[in-house]
Amino acid sequence: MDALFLINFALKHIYDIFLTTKVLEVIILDITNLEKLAKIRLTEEERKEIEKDLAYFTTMLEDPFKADTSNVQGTTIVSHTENVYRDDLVEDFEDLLFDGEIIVPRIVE
Amino acid sequence: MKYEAVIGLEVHVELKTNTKLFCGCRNEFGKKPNTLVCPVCAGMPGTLPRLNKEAVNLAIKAGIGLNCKINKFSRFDRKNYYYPDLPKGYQTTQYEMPLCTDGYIDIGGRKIGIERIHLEEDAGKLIHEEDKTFVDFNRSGVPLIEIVSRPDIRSGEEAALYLKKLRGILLFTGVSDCKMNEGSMRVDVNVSVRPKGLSFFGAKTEIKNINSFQYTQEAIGYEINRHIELYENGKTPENETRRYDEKSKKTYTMRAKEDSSLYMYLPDTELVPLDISEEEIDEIRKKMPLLPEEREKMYVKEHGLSDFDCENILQEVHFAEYFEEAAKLSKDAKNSANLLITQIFSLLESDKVIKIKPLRLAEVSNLMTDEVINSSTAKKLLEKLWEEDFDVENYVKENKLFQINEKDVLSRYIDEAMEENQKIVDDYRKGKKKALKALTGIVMAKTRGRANPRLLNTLLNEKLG
Amino acid sequence: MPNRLSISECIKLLDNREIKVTELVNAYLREIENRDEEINAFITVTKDEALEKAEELDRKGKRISPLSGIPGGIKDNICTKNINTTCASKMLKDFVPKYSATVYERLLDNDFVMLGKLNMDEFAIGGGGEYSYFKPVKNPYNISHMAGGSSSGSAASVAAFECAFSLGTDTGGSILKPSSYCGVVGMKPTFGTVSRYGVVGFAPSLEQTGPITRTVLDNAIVLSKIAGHDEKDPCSIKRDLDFLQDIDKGLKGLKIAVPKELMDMDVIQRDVRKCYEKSFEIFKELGCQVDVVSMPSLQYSLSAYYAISSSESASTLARYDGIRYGHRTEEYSNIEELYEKTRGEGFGIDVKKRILFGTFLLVEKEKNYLDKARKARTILMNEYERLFKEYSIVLTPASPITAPAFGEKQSNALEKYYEDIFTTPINLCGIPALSMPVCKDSNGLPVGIILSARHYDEKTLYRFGHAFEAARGILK
Repeated sequence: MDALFLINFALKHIYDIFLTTKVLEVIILDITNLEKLAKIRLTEEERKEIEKDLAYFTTMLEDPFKADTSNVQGTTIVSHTENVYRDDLVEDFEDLLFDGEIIVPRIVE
Repeated sequence: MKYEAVIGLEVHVELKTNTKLFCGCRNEFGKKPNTLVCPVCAGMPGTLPRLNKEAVNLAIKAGIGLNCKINKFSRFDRKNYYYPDLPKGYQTTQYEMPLCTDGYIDIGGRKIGIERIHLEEDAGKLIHEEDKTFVDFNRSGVPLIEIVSRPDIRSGEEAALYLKKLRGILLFTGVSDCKMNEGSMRVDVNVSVRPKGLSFFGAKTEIKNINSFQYTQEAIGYEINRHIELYENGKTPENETRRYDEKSKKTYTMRAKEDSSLYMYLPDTELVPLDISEEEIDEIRKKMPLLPEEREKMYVKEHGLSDFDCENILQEVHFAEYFEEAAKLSKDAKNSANLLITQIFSLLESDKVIKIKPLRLAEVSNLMTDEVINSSTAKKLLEKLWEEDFDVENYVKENKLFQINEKDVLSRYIDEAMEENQKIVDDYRKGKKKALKALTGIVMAKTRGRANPRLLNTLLNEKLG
Repeated sequence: MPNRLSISECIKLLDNREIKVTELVNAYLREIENRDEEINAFITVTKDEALEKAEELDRKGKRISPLSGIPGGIKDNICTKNINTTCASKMLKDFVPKYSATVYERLLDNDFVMLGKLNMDEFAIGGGGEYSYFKPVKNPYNISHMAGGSSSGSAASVAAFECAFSLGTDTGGSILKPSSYCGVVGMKPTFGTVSRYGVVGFAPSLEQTGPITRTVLDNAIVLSKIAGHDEKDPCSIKRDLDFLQDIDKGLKGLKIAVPKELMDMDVIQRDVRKCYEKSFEIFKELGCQVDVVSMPSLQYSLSAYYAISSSESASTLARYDGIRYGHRTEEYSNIEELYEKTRGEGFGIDVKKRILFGTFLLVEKEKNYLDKARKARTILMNEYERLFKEYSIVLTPASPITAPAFGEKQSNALEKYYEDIFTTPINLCGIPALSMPVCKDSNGLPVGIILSARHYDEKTLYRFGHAFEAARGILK
């Protein structure tokens, strides 16, 4: 088998992994990327205030790491006892929900 | 260098329910935009989802049909992303704990693994115009299952085979109508190529939303060759999403593949987790209809059908049900199958509705078996029955369509034909064996198609000596 | 002044035909007219509808429920069909729902008289009542102080006699805290007791709607009418709904737990500590045993709460995108710009903060803070469960401080978030809790306590609250 080819193949593979981790790091540290992800445009003033609070939040997040959570299952919802189902029966919504057509800027797919 | 393709399929299938996954809006295709919408599926403030039991049952059925483990505990998660057709800003799906896992489909001796089947909601639809895009939420909230195969597929042919089997199982379990033209079955393909013998994957491309099984096969074939060519030239393919163009039979770049780690997932705490008991699963298992494979075995064993027959009849659930109904009333089910496939299927229109009662097919078939009529009469009868229903035996009597089984009667017709067509008789005797066929045709015409073909053949041979 | 009466007193008068519904409603409407310009408790006053309903009830004469003819206000994140539901946000300032929340429908079924929609912190995020898009809610005891939030208008309107009762919603103390700042009685019921359908929340795993009233008995009366199973809410629970059965039984021999860790906290103001300790004395006089117990897991509750609520909010508030309803930015050239500008303009600073923090948690995969937070939640629940095997209730202050003044700079973010230290564990565990006033601090501002109990044990909370209230008297 072509050795050079194999090295090339493997390098590409490793590079991809590297790229993914790099991207993640940047996103987490940068508030402008959080804005992009949350689709919220901040003013400069807001950005400063939120950045300060986020820094505080992240230190606060260390608290639960002090807890011994070995053998503990996380809780997402506090109480439920049984499956909750709806029967497959039609219920038409009688009101017109939207006043007109829903139009957005042209989307290129 | 030897290469090996590694192919995985992600198939989305809309479930055949009356209503949407989380609200009572109709699950219907082709209605006026935004008329099948309520506050819940439009993502209005404060509304909450209510899970459709039938959707869960159908997903379990799919899981059983595809040999999956049905998980006792599963849960709904939110896949967060922004798109105008996604009203809540997230899709409610099952990410961490899917309903079904670890199944397989047998594609003629080889098992293609199924990693998972999860239940989720469909998004709305975008309708693009030159300068703007319209959003239609009628499809928003329609129940889907996503069936994710393991990367066990090695070629386009195998992919098509897998899809065919998958479609059959989903059709026969009543899970979905699998109409690719209406989007109730949608196929995404992941393709990568690696040197044979290596265990890690090469660069992966995803081909989205392919329109048919044949195109899937073609697209995969094209993509494999493209990858190999790149490698051979010292290049590597990009990790990206591509689309298949049916006209040029090539794939084209759509966009760089999103990093899936950037999708934001979160357990949905508006819904409670699912806790499916063994009893519930058994209840569904008991009611499972026969799957295509089981039916095929039965057809072969009980009725002597061929692979070709089975494949044709098992294309659609109502074909199979039709055949089974007719077979019950038939003296020779294999003959009924032949009539169904060669005669009736050629009459089908695009809606694929069979306009003849199974009883009538059996009646026609039985008259053939009893040598009362011959096959050309059978064909005429079926064409007639397609237009209107009637009692076959009476009709045959009234119109004197009986097959001519009497040796002397048939001999008279043959003699007459030979006299009138001396040249053909001479041709035959000079060694032109084809002439026999011509004479057969002439006699048939004289009898208005009623001659017993076997008897006719024997007599003709005798007379031509 | 009939609007100074409690609901139970009104019920007697209405039953005996000693007062007309119209008189009662007019008294409240007058109070709103006189006082709300400075309190800002209401966003929408439905005066005409209220009077019409009052006249209809007077004509009908028959009272079908204890709440028949009783005037109340609804927090503006609870959907009211054909009535503006703004969530105190620019995003929804013109939003008129075509459906109603189940709680609102229940009240209508009981013939209550709707006075209007109450001001709040935007999208129920925030704790002061100052983060309303429209106007800040002021504390009726001293208008230069906050009312607490997020159900600020709900608490202030009841305290200012502008409503006989109100509905608030609570995700991390949003009923309990403003009730204590405004000196009224607030109940956060067990998770699943009151339907969430039609209530515009931001963190569904933590949210409950509950009543705010001036007396404990009134509170139990209202809760009895809004609670109960609703098939529109998947988390709604079928349970015992007799909240009044133990209310007069007294407290002899019952045990109260006081968490040591909270007692030791130096963020608690001196006056608050004094009032808190005074409440021990009152309970002891009523025959209770008050024990100091250790609850080490409480220290995780604030961070667990902020992690869970923020991540849920980033997802739940994603639907406000300007596509189908609500605010849409004026100018945009593509879809990205439409989203980013709409959400940038439509949300206030506290909401943005919560969403961005939540977004960070959703993309952060390495440390997996969320997983840790969910596990801490389990540990906390186990701790409460152990405690409730022995104790009827856990007693804490409602907040380390009394209502802060507007413009009073909190020294750091820490202090602000620590305001929620006593309430967040309650939502994390889904247990019921009652907030009620004890006394006033040296500035004349109310100081409150929180009583929490095991799941489904609201009746015990009302029993304690009722006895305590009788012993201490209603805060005036």
